[in-house]
Amino acid sequence: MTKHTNDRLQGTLDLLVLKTLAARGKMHGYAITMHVERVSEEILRLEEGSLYPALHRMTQAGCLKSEWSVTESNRRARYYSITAAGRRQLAEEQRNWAALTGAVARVLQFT
Amino acid sequence: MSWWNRLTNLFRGRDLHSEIGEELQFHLDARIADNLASGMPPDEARRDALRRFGGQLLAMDRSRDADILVWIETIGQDIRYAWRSLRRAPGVTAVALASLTIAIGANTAIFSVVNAVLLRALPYHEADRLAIVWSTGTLNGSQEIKTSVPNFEDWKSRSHSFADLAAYREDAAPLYLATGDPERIDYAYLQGDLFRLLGRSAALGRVFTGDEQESRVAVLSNGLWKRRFGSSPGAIGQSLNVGGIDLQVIGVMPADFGFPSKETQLWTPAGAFPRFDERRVQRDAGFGVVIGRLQPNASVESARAEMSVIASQLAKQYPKEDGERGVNIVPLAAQIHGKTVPYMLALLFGAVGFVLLIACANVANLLLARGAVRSGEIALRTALGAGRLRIARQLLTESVFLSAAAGVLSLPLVAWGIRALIALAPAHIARLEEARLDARVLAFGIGLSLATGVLFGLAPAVRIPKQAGRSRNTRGPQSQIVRRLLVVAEVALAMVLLTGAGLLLRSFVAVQSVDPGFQGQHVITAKLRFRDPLLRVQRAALYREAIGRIGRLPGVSAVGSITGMFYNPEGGKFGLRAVEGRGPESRDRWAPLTWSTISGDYFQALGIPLLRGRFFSDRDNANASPVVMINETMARRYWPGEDPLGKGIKGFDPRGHNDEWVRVIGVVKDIHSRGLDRAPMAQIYETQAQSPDETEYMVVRSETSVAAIRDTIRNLDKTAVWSDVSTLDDELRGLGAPRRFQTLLLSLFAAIALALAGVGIFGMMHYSVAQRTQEIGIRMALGARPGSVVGMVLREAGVLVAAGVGFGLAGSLGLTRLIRGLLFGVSAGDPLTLAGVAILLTAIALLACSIPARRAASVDPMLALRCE
Repeated sequence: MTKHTNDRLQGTLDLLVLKTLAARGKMHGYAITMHVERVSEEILRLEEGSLYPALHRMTQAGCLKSEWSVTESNRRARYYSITAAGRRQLAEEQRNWAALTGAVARVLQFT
Repeated sequence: MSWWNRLTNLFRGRDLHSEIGEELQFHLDARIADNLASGMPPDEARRDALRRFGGQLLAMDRSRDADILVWIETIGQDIRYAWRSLRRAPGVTAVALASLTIAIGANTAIFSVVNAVLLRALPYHEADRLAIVWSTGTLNGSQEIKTSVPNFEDWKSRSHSFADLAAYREDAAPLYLATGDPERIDYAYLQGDLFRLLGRSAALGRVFTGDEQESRVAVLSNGLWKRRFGSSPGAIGQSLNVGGIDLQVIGVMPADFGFPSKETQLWTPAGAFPRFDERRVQRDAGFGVVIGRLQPNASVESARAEMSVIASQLAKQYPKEDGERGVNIVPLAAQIHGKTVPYMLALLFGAVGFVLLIACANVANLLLARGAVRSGEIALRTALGAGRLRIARQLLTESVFLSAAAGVLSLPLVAWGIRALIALAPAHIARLEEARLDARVLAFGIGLSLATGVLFGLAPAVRIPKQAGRSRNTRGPQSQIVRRLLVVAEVALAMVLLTGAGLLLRSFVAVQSVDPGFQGQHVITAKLRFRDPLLRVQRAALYREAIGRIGRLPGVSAVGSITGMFYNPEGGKFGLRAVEGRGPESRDRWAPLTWSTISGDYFQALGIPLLRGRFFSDRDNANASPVVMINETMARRYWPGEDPLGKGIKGFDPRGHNDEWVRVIGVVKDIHSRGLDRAPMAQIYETQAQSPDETEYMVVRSETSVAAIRDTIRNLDKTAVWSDVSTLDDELRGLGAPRRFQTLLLSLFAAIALALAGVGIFGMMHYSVAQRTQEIGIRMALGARPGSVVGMVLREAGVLVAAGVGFGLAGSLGLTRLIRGLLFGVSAGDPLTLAGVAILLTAIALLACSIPARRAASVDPMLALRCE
């Protein structure tokens, strides 16, 4: 589960998805996009073209599990939720992110 | 976990695909709905939703199913388009079709023969596990010696490499049925369970097994059954007599069964062989050819290793009989084909391959030339949005369409070619006559056509879109180079083929002019056999009487007979046991040598002159001291510079009453008894009166008819069988048949190659002149004479032909070495042949250029200038 740690961009997308699902439970792809946009006050917009490949990749890696379900508007959609492995991955990604931002902050604060 | 998912994805690929589609569609729809809700106009809402996805969605759009449909549809378009554009240039299309049809047809026809003779499995169960186990002579290098009955039994009990071993002994003898004339047939004695070993059973009745060695039964070939029993089931249980043995028919084999050869017409257990019981204890008397079925875990190599150990054990155990016996194992297929047939077919296949390459170069060139003409059309299509790849594919489709059409057109040619090949081929090529246009040959033809289309279509498909990519009327210099290279390659390939054919033709002429050493005109040959069992003296008397009676027929000038006249050119080496006044001959000096028995006026009938001494006379009988005549080669071998007359020799079988010296009484001229292209070998002739052998091969120098001779024989003895009637000229021609066949076909292919190369040069120069019309016009307007214009065209062609001849020369010197074994009286790099071929090619090239050159010379300067 240590894939992608050297890939910041990818890692960021994974981190956002994992965190969103950890906080909100079962969601479909579009709802994840909306959640990230809303919480980040429209500053973060997920690249939708890469969202689904990421979701499928993480599902295959066992971080997420998916199932078909029906939306409020009575349409079929694929819902994703986080697994135990996903939570471990999330913790790891969060640590990496903190380390990275901390490091960047220290560089910026250096005068 | 992930590998499991990936694996399952593989199996539900289609399902997964539609699920992803649905998931994305849901996302898009949701986004559009939200956009609409936030007040965007519908168009904008949709575009925004798509934009957010970026390029990914487009990729997803190309679903697999749709791809295949589009592909099929455009192929259909391409083919329709190809048809139209080929029809627009009927001349080019006709030439291309004709050359491809001939080339593909020739290749497919040759393939059908290769397939029938070499590639198809033999009609036995797991035929690749069958092998012939030969005894060998370790001292004189004989590779194919029959195995004695005791050795066979020992091999069988001691070896573990073979699931089973059996043996066969071929023979030929008169066959007598209750009705009809006697005839001479080839048949085989079988030792062991041969039918089971081959995995074949009878079509009618049954076959015999290894336990029936003592029964007097016969299994008939399908051909014999049809011919003599009218395919009647009543044949089973009938009695017949072959070689003096009474047999009862128990079965008939299927039509495709012909073991060991298709001439074999009857099989009987080895126990029926006369005095077989004596053979059981004669370890030094070769009896049959052993065939084995390898165990599943054994290979030819491992079997060879094991058998050579067994052979050396036997050599120790029985030094007198087996001291010089080794073992050699040859896979059955290799044994049947021998060495010459695969070599001959490889040669022919190589030659037609060259023809195909030349045709490909030719058609590629034609299409390139046409591509230049079509550059306007293609530029237009490019402007309308067709990608370079799309146009390349269109061009490739045209090529493949063309070659597929040629493939179809070649089918009648193939059918005719197969018949012609079977008719022309030398006799005794196993399974040749089974060559036909079957599914496998058809598949080969289709595959070859498609491959050909891709091969010659590749250059145009790559080059033409590039040309068109540039401005309209510039033909890239690169394309000119490609086209010139193609012409050079054509000329070079044609040169190699022509050189090969030229060398073979010269060899053929040289062989034809060899003096065989005898006069074959008006000599009738035939085999004569009398009914067994007869005492030797009785039979000898019958032969003497037959020779006397035929000799008295009007028109007959001489009659004689011999044990056998022509010999296998690959026959073994032999020597004498003793030569009077010499030490024993060392084995490494052994060379081909025959010891044959003659009767009557054999030498006079053939016109073989006596050089020294005398012919046999009536005084040379069983009670007189043994004498022989020899030929020149024999005299040179043992008595160089000496008079051989009166010298004594001993062969391996004792002669006279007490193993006396056999004295030389005469020397005759050499004859080419192994074929005209082989040097004569040492020959010893013994008279029948002093020999145990029968002289069944009759030679009659005669102006009279065969029928008169046949009647004479019949009046002499009702049971006499007069067969294999031919003339000495025909026999000689038969010996030369393989050479004639190869020379004829190679010459034919070389002629086709020459014609194709001529067409190629013509096409190239025709196009070149057409393109340079303006330039030529300007030159002529500026005062160039027609002669100098012609010179310009010829110079251009001359460079190409010279380059082609140069490369062809190099190729010829390398490749003609492969046919060195076929050459006679001419060397592989024969300068005369090479020069002749180069001149011939140049002449054809000049001829091909003459029309374009004349056209160039007749260009009207004004018209040419107005052209633009």
